[in-house]
Amino acid sequence: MAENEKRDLQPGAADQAAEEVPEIRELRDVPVEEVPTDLLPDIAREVKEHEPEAVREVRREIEDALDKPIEAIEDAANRLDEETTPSGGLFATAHTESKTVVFGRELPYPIYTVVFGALAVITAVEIAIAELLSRDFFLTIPALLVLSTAKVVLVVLYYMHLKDDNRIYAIALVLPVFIATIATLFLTAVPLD
Amino acid sequence: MSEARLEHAPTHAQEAHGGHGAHRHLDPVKVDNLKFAMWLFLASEVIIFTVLIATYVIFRIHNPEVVKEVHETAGVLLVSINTFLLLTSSWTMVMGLRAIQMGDQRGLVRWISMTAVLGVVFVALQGVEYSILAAAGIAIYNSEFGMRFYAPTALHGAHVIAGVIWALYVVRNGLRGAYSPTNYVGVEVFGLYWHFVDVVWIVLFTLIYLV
Repeated sequence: MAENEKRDLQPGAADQAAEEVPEIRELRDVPVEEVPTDLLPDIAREVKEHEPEAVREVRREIEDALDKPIEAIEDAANRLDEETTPSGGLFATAHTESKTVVFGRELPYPIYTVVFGALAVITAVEIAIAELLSRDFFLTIPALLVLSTAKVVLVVLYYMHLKDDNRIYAIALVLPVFIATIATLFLTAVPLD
Repeated sequence: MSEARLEHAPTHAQEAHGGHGAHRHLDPVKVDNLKFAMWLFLASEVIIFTVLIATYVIFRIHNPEVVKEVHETAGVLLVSINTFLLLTSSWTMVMGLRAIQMGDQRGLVRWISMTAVLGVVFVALQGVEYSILAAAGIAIYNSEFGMRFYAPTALHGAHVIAGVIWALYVVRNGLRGAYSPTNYVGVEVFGLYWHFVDVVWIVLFTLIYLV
């Protein structure tokens, strides 16, 4: 498709969409940066629904040339983006960014500061449990051990970077910890006399 | 006739601290080996500390009343302050690493200096704690508890002292411009050591002082 034909077709499509959809008509003279972002997906869909046959043909030609619908290519690009961007898990943010996403909420602190906050809170809870609850209460010691383990996991995963680093480093740590834990548990079960 | 040449974009794994300026290139395998060697060292440390901790835990299981008495004597305030100090030092350590990753040389020096200061305060407060316990008659030579208590905590304290010296070495290198956003493995390896010391304290704090 020649460049001239594309330039002729695209303004026509916009005019037609503007005639048929009031929201598009209202937004025609608004600068792009001032269009509310929540309107953009809907407007884009409206434009596509009112796409003239000539424009549709151009799109199909492009899709045929690429051998897949443009939406499929966009989906693939988005998936690739998601896979290569640190995401998921409790704290989903790159180390050098100045904000952190925790359970979907964005906090204005680097991830290391958020982890520090979590460590401090867990430590405070540990101290409160140890001071307020009796050691004889059946949940006190298990709760302290679980909280302590949570702190160790946070430091190892985020401060020592095992979350993102080579697995071989994790194996170098986990293997001796596992053996040492089993050996210690065995020793605690051995009677003294 | 064209000349083909393969070049890699520099990454942190391709350059490492060598004490001769920021742009000394090292084999990436060497950098990975440095980190792996540190992890293997830490693995050996896990075993050493486990022996001492296991000795304490077995004593704790069989002598709960002795441990309860010591807890009442020592209290948890001082050691809680120390715990927060060490957690904070881990945060300043990793913020120093972050600073150099972002090219902030002064930030690196500032954060690692704070790490060293917090380490010094931690050791000083541990000395205060030891003197309180000694005044209460709990020494390494006169009680079964003392032997099992001082061995892991003092070995940990020795690690903190070694870490402070290492931190000062990193600060010195930082002042000389030895690190850069593409050359920070020296900071990273020190960070692994310092965070491990923090991890050991997290375990000691819970098992010895809280449980």
